[in-house]
Parts: sequence; C-alpha cells; structure tokens
Amino acid sequence: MKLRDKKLFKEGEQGLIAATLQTDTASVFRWLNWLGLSYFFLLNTVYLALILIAASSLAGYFRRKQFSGIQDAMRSPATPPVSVLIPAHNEEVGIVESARAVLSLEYPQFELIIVDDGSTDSTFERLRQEFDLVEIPAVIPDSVPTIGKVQSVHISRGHHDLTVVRKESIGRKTDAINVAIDLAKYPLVCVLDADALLDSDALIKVARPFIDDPQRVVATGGAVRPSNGCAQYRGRITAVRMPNNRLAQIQVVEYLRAFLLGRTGWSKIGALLIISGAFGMFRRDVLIAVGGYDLSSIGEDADLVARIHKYMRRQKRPYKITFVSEPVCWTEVPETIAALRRQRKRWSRGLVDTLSTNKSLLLNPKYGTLGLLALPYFVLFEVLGPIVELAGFVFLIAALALHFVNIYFAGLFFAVAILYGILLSILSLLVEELSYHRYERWKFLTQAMISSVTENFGFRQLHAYWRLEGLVMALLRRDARWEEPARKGFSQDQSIAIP
Amino acid sequence: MTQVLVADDDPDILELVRYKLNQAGYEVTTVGNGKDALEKAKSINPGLIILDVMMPFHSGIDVTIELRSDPQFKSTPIILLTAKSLEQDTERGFSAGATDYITKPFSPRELLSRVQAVIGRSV
Amino acid sequence: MRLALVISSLTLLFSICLLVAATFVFRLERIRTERKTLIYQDNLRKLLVKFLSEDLNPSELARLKKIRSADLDKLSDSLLSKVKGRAKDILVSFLESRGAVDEAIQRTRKPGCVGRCRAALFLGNIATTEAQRPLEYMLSDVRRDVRITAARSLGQLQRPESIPALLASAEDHHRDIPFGTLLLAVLRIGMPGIPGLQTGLHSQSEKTRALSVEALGLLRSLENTNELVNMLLSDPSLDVRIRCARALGRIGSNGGVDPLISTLSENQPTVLKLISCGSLAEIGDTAAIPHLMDLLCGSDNQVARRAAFAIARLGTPGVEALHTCISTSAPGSRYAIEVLTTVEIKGQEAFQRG
Repeated sequence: MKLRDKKLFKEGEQGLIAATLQTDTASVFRWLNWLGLSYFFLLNTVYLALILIAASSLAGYFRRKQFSGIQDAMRSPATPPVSVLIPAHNEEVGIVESARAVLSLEYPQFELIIVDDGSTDSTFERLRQEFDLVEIPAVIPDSVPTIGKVQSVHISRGHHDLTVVRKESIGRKTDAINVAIDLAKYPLVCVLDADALLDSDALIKVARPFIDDPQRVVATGGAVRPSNGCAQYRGRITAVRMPNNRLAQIQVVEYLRAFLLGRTGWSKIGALLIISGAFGMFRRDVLIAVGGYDLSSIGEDADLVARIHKYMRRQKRPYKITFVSEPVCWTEVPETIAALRRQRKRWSRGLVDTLSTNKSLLLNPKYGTLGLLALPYFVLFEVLGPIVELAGFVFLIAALALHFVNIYFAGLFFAVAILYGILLSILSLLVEELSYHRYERWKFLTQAMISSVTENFGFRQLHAYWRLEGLVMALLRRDARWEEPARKGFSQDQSIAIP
Repeated sequence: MTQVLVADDDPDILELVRYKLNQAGYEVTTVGNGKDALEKAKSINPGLIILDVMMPFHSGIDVTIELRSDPQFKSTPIILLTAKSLEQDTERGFSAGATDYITKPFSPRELLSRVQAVIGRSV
Repeated sequence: MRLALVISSLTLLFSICLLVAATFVFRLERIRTERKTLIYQDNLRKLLVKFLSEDLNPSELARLKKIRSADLDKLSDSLLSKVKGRAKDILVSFLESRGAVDEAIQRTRKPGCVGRCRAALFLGNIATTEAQRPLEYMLSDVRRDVRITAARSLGQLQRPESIPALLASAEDHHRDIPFGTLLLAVLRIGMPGIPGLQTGLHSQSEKTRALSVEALGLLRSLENTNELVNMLLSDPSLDVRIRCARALGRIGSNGGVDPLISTLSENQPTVLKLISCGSLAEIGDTAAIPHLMDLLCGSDNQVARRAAFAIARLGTPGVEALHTCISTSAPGSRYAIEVLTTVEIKGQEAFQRG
C-alpha cells in the first residue's frame, strides 16, 4: 500500500517539483564531487611534497655516507651501551634464532632482555636450553608501571648478556615492554619485535644519532621493510627479493612510499609522530619520565612518541626525534586479505585512539610542525581520509548514474585520484632506485612497477574501507577499550606492530 | 699448498690480502660477504680462513661461530680482520673461536707473518 | 571541463611514463658504469697493490706513473686508510710525488661539497703537518659533511695544537659538528692534548665542557681530578655533572670519593646517583660502603639495585656488608640476594649488570 502511495505521490508531484529538486540535488552532488576531487588533489600533493622532502634528505644522506665513518661509532668509547628488549608471546618457532641473531649484532656493548609474556608454548623452554638459563631472585624496580605479575627472572650462565623474564600476560604487549624497561640497565633501550630480522649493523646505525648529538636526540626509529620473499639465514636477510604474493608486493611499494619516504619527510621537518613498534630506540631516562608505554593505549607506538613530544616541549629543552632511513629491519607482512584487514583495522583504531588522547597537540603552535602540520595531516587524511575517499567514489558513481556530472568530470576525478596516486608510487620507486636500490633484479623492479599501478585499483579502496572499519570501532568502543584486546595475548594481528 | 679463504666486503682489502698471500705461495679464494664465506668454506675446505668482522648480512663473528659448530672446521685456523681495537670485540672474537685477529689498517708484511705463524702452529 | 581532463590526465600519464622510463634508465646506467669502473678499478687496484709490495717491473712502474686518472687518486686514497707500515710509506711518497697533497689543500677551498670532503679525508689519511691549518679552517665550512670530515681528519693528524680549534667548533651552534665526532678526534690526539682540553673545562658552552670532561675522563687524566670534582658539584648542566661523575670513576683517584658520595644525597637527580654508584665502585674505596648501603635501603628501587651491584664490587668488605644486610633482613636485602646470586652465576661479568 505504501509503495503504491509513494508511486502515486511521485507521479503526481513529479511535474511540479521535479525541476527544482533536480537542480538542488544536482548542485549538492556536484559540490560534493568537487569536494572529493579537491580532497584527493590535496592529499596527493601533500604526499608529493613529503616524498620530495625525503628525496632531498636522502640525497644528503648518501652524499654523507661515504664520509660518515660508521666504523668510528663502533670504535668510540662514547658509544652508549644499549638494552635490546624483545617482548615474546608464543614465539617458540623463531625465538632462539631471533635471540642469537640479536646477540651477534655489531655493537660495542649491549644486553638483551626477552620478556616471555605468558606464553603457553615452549618459548621459555627453548631459550632455557639454548642459553643455559638460571633463575635469579631479581627485583623489578617499578620505574614504569606494569600490571602482569612477574613470575621469574633468568640469566644466561654463558657469556651472553641475556636476561629472560617470565610474566603473566594481560594480553598487552606494552605491559611486557614496560617490564623490560624496568629491568634494562643501559641508558638506551631498543624495542624490537620477536619476529623482526635486523641487518648486522642495524643497531649501530640507529644509535648513531644519539652518539652524534647526545644532548638533543631522545628517540630514533628505523626503517621497516617487508621480509616476505627475501632469503634468510640464521635470523639475517641474505638476499633481498620481491615476494611472490601479490598482496605482499603491493605492501612492498606501500612501505616504501609511506613508511620509508613518508617518515623520512616527516622526520626532516621535525614532525615524526610514529616510531615503529618493530624497531625503535629511546633514551631510557626519557621513557621513564613519560611513564613508559601507556598500558591502555591501542596505538602504543604513536602514543608513546606523542607523549615524548609533549614531555620534551614541557621541559623546554631542544630535542630531536629522528627517523633513520637506512638501518633496515625486516618484518613479515600479512599475505591474506583477512590478516591484512585485521592489521589495518588495528592500526586505524590505534591512530584514532592516539589522536584523541593527544588532541591537545592539534593545531597547537607550541608543538611546532608536529602540532601545525603532522597532526592536522593525520586527522584530515588518515582519520577522515577513508570516509572522504569512499564517499567520493560512491557519490561519483551515483552522480554519474543520475547524469548530474558528465563523463569528463569522472575522468578528471579518476586522473586526480588514481593516476596521481600511481605517480606517487612510481616516484617512490625512482627515489629507491636512486638511493638504496635494494631490489636488484629487473624482475623485481618490474613487479614493483606493476604493483604501483594495481595498488590503486582495488587495494587502495579496500584499505580505505578497512580504515573506516577501524575508525568506527574506535568511535563505538571508546569506553570499553579495556575489555577488547583480551583475545589471545598479542598473537596474530596484535603482534604485527605498526612499522 | 695451503688454501686460504678470505672474506671481506672491501675490494681493497681483498686485493691486498690476496696479493700478499699469493706471492708467498698460498692459493687464495676471495668472497665478499659472510654467507658466501660459509658456502665457499664448505666446498673448498680451506686450510686457513680470514674473515672481516664488519660484513653485510653475517658478521665475521657470526661466521666463526657457525664454522666452529661444524666438525669439519673444528681445528681450521680462523683470523679475524677487525677495524676496531676495542677489548670486548677481540674478546667476542676469541670466545667465538677465532685463532687470531689483525686490526685494520694493517701492514701486509705483518699479515703474512701472522698467517705463517698460525698455519705453522696448526700443522 | 573537457580541457581540464585532457590536460591533467595527459600531464599525469606523461609524468608517470617519464618516471618509469627514468627509473629504468637510471638502473641501466648505474649497472653499466658500475661494471665499467669495476673492471677498470680492478686492474688499477692490482697494479697499485703490486706497487705497494715493491714488485712492479720498470715498465709497469713507468705505466703507473703515467696514469693521470681520477680513479687512481681515489683508489690510492682509499688504500691509504687501510695499510700501515712500509706499504703506507710507499703509498704516501707516491702520492706526494703526484702532487696530491698540494692539490688537496687547494681543493679545500673550492666549491663542491664532495670534493672538499674528499680532500679533507685524504689530508687526514696522509696526515701531514701542513694539512692542519686548512683542516682547521674547514671546521667552520658551510657544509656539515665537510666540517665532520675535517674534524675527523684533524684527529688523525694527532697534533695537540689543533685542540683549541676543535673545542671552539663545539661552541659554534650554527655550524655544529656532532659530539661523537669531536670526542673521537680529541681522543685520537691523546695525552698530548690534555693541556688544551683543560682550558675547555672553563668554556661558556655546555657542549665544550661536556666534551672536555668526557675526553679527560677517557684519557684518565689524573691531574684534573680537582677541577672535575668542582664541576661535579657545581656545574649548571646536569649532563656535564653526569659526565664528571663517570670521568672520576674512570680516572680512579681517591680524591673523587667524597664528592661522589655527596652526589648520592636525597635531593640529587636519579640519573646522577646511578652513575655515581658505578663510579664509586670503579674507584674501589670501601669508604663508600655505608653511603651505598643507605641507598640500598632507600625508597628508590632503581638506585637501590644499582647500589647493591656497586657494593658487591667493593671486594670482601662489600660482600660482607651485603650478607649483614640479608641476615638482618633490612629493606634492601632482596637486592643484596639478587646481586650475590648473580655474582655467583656470572662471576666478574655480573658487574656489567650494575
């Protein structure tokens, strides 16, 4: 009945209001479409600027490299000792290899602390056998807050400076890291993922800014690249290859553009917000002063850096947070849509969470480029991005179907959204080719080129959708965020840190 | 004639070592990184191995540990080439199983006499 | 609209193609030149190495002397930093005969950042006295890379006369040189540089003072104990005070004991206390034991733990003090137990933990 009513109504009124309605809706649609178009244009142009800044900074880096004297840093008695911290949860497969790879890194003096965060497999047993661990009655100084109860502390009887802590898990990696920060004895701490593979000189390279500028540098982050497809031997990458998996190939290009060049760019203008959870180094006293990782935060990596920024600005001392583009840390990226979706939803949630807890920084001139550029960028493009992107496409298609816009506008939209995107990816590849050229074979280069194109058809839109899901989750579960992560410790998606 | 395997990522060092040892009548094989060193060592079974400590992928210390865990290389003399004169590094080298070490920059003559001493000791 | 579409898509498509092409061309070019220079350099290198071993026959020697390529200069440069002894002497005189030193000195003032860096590097490697002035001049070069290389090279020259210039460059905030680079440079100069470093202790600049303190500590300069003590107690910069505490430990003079003990008091910053514990242990004066015991039983866990390790390093009296602490189950006894167990397992290595 209703349907018929509607139909009648429609037919009856059509003649009267059709014209006005048509023009009203049309202008709204057009307006929205232009908004979407400008948004894409702005986003891509900002990225272009970032890549160009990064390229110039990389050019300087490479010019310097031949005179940088990395050997000096190895020799210098002023190279501060480092505590390497690895949180591990059910990592029996790779933990011994990871530990051995870390212990044989090139660095004058360092210790390794592994926190076995309530593993239910033989993670601890394997470590105990390999390194001849014995329990000691250690006391954990509570310099930073922790929740999970520490069950026992073990040290290696051999000559390795290795400590293994067993604790009850509260399902949060941050709690495990905080325990390790408490136990760390050296002035610098390096937080590392259990499954991350480091190059043998990665530690010295990421510590380098601390040696060069000890008064100012408080944190550094290393570049992370996907390890999928690469040849590995004993916890080290021995040959860099392109993965066979399409999804992983796309991520190689994405990591290059967003995490290598994007972060180099942000770091250059002094507005680095994210230091990878897979590979970051901090001054221990600063970590303690800010209270370590926030146990309730979901995007712990960005949250920590934001709090360090806040703390240092309050201290009114000049400081630097640097991204080191070279020391490559390799980490496995998801190869299935489902796993990738979980990961990206989590990142998006984490970012929204971090931004909302640190909103005092937004547009705050006290925080310089961070407050005035980086945070607005994150809010505008990373948080609102998925909404505008998806809406942009939906409205475009709707408008096309309703003949509100012509095919030329659609073409223009396509050019700005898609072609410009491809351009950025290809540009990133060119910068990589001129700088690191890590992907030696022609085949890899071609694969990367193809991925730069395919990324923009499907993947990018899917990614926007996943981020939207994460955003919605973050908004809905605001109050209940404590209950959420109690799934299976930080297995699966949780263990995949933001690179 | 003793086979010597030299691993270093620096072509200058490789050539310096290769030439000097060649002159003295050793047969020298050179490789550019730790992984190749491991593979080559297994295939040619050299009488002496010279390893640079700072190499891409696997450091000389990594390689030493790895070789020492293999019965084939239980007693093969290993000399580490190190650019640093830090105590803990030589300590690390020796505890990994190195026979001797030489710090860079080095004198080719000194290198030769060390090599001869090490080989003489092991025979 | 149509025009906008055509222009924008064509521009974008064109740039994409251009970038793709550029990437491939750059790679091709890189591979080609790499291959070419590799073969060429390989041959040159072989010739040079043979020359260094004094095995070249006259005709080869004549050939080598006739080569006027930049590659040969580069190769000799890079070999220079890798050999010592007789081979180095030969190389140095070869380079001098080619006029390389004068040329490098001239290059230090020419435009081109890479060229200046290379010149500085070379002058450091060849380490001739005449390079001191030009290198000091380069410490205030507009390019940071050049300044860094020059500082490093001055270290290689090992001339105490250049200490004032190195310290002065630490004061320059606009044209800065990394702390680590400067430190290594003054350390390379070594003991002869100590008088120069002493004047750096009175500098207005925090970085210069930190640098001088750190270097004097690492050089174990006993005669500066008093000055370091004064700075430990009264320097306005915490960073400098921390470095003084560490330096006093390294120097190991008993004169450092009382001042270090005074930094263990309640109102001092935690970071300083942590370092002072270690330094007191390093000096090894048992007079510190009662004060460290106070910290061990204090409220700050971090400091208490560090104090326990320090006490254990002070020999038998220290170990006894820890045992007494355990038997009376004083507040710090849990740290005492931890330390004694660790020492039992790891031996001397345990003290690295402190």
